[in-house]
Amino acid sequence: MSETVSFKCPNCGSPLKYSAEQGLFACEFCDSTFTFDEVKDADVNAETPFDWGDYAANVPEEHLDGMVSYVCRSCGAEVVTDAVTAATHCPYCGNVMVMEENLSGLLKPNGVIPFRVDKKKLKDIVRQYCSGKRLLPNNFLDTHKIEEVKGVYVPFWLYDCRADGTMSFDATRVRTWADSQYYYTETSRYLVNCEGGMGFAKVPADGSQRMDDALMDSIEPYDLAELKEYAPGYLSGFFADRFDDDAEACLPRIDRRVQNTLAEAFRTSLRGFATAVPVHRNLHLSNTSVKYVLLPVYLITASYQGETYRFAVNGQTGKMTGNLPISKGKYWAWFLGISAVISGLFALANFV
Amino acid sequence: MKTLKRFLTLLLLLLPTLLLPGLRAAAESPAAAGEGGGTVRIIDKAGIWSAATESEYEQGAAELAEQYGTDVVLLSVRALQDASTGDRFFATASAFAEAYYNMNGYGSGEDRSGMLFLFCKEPGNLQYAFYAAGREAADYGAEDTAYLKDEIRPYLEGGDYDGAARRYLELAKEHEAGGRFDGNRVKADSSNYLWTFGLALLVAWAITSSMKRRMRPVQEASAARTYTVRNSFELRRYDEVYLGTTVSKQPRNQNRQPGR
Repeated sequence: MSETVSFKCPNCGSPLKYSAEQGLFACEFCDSTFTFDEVKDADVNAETPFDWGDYAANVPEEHLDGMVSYVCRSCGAEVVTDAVTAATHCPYCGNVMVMEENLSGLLKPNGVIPFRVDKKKLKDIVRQYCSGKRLLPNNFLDTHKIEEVKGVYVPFWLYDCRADGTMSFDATRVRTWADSQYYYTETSRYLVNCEGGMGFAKVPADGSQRMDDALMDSIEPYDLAELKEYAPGYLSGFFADRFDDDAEACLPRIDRRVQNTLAEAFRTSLRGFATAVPVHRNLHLSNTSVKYVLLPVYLITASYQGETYRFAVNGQTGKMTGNLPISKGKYWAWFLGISAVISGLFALANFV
Repeated sequence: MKTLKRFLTLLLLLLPTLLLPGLRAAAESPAAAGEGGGTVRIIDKAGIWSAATESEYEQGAAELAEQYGTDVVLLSVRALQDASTGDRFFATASAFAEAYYNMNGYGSGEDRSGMLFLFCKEPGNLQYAFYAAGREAADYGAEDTAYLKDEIRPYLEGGDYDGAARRYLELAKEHEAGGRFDGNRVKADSSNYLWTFGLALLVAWAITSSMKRRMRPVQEASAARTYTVRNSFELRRYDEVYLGTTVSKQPRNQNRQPGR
C-alpha cells in the first residue's frame, strides 16, 4: 500500500485546491486562500531536484509497471491507479491525492508551470476555437457531448542542446535575357558547402505514453520563463502523471526537430540561388542536458455522432488544439460553390 | 356597308406601308436592279469547278442574298489580271479581289455588303484572298477572316476545289446566321471552358484542402525555431564550388497560340 499526500486547509482541514484564476490555493469549504509559500511550509519538500543521470543509474525499468493502490487520507478508501499516476482524485470523497513517491526523491520534477487558465473559461475557449471553422457541422457546438474535462500536469522533458554539422547543397543561379528571336536561360550550378551550429534551450517533449505526441506538440509554446520550483501543492485540484517515456526515448524527437531547424538555417544562409537541393547532411547534437518539468494541460474528450474527439488546451496560454469533425455536406457545398464561382468569373471574363 | 367602306379605306391606307419594305428590298437587289455581275456569284475563270458545284453554289448564294441581303462571291482566275478590272495586273491577290468585287458591281444595299473569295491558280503558285465589303467588312474581323482562310486552305492545297467551294458557302452561312463563326468559337470556347473548369476545380480543391487543414491542426512538430538561443547560429564555413553552366534558348513565338 503506497502513501499519498493530500493538502488540507490549515483552517478547517478540508482538501485544498489550486485556483488557476487566483493563482492561490483555495479551500472550497471555508473560502480561505493561501499563497504558495504558506502551503509550501506544510509540504514535505526537502528532496534534491531531478537528475536524469542519477535516475537512469538508480531506477530500474520495472519501476513503471503494474498497478499501485493508495489509501485516501480523507475517507480511508483504497484507490488503485497505474504506476505513473502522480495526482488524482479519490473517486469516493473527491479528495486530492498526490502520490508522493512518483514526484519525490529521484522523480522530483525540476519545475512546474502552474495552471493559469481557469476551467470555467474552457467553454469560451472551445467556442472560440470552433468559430470560423467553416466545415464544422452546424450542430456540433450544440449537440456534442463533453465526456470528460481534466486538468492534467503532463510530464515534459526540456532539452538544452547544441546542434552542429555540415551540409551541402546542389544549387543553381539563373539568368535570363532575350534577343529578337529567342529567350535565353543561363543556369549555373554550384556545390555549396556549409558548416556551423546553433544552440537550443528548453526544447520540450512530453514524457507520457498516454499523451498523443502530436497533440502535445500542437499546444506549444509554453512561456518557460514562468517555470516555478516544483511543489506538490500546485497539483491539488488537478491530475498529474509521472513520466513513462524517459529522456532517452524522447531524444530522437528532439534530434529531428533540432536538426531540421539547423538545416533550415543553413538553407536560408544561401544567397542569390534560385534552387538549392540538399545533397549531404551530417548534423549532430551535443552538450545535451535535460530537465524534468510538469506542464499544465486541459484534456477534453467529446463525443459527436458516435465518434470520440480529443482536444488539448495549453493550461498556461489557453491555446487549444484538436481535430474537429468535418461536415461532408459543407465540404462539397464549398467545393462546388467555389468551382462554380471561379468558372463563372472566368466565363464572364472570356465573354467580355 | 359603312363598316365595309371604312375597312377598305383603312386597308388602302395601310397597303403601301405593308408593301414598302418588300418593294425597297427588291429595288436594292442587284438582280432586280439588273446588275448582271451581281446575279452570278461563282465565276470560274480557271475552270476548276464542276457544273454541279457551280449550280449548288449559285443556289446557296442566292438563298443567302435573299435571306441576309449579302453577296457571297467565289472567283477563280489563272492570273491577277482581268478585262473586267481594266486588264491591269495586280501585285497582290487581295488588291485584285477588292478591285474585282467593286468594279463588277457586287454588293447588296447602300453599303454594298458582300464578300468575295478569290482563288488564283497560277502554275506553281497558289494564291488566295478574301475581301469583305460594307456590313460584312465590319462583321469579318481579323480572327474570323483568318479562320475562314485556314478552313479553306487545306481544300485548295489538296486540289479539292469543289470541296473548297462547298466549305466557303457553309462558312458564309454559318457566319451570317451567327454574326460570327460560332462553330469556331464553340470549339475554342469549349476548350477554354474545359481549362477554366479544370482550373476552377484545382482552386476549389486548394481552398477546401486549406479549410480541411484548419479542421485537423494536430501534427507533430518538425522544427524547433521557437527554442533557438538568440544569435547562436554561427556559420563557420561557407564555400561555393562552381560546377558548370548551361544555356538554353526558346524561340520567342513558341509560346504564342496559332492564329485562328
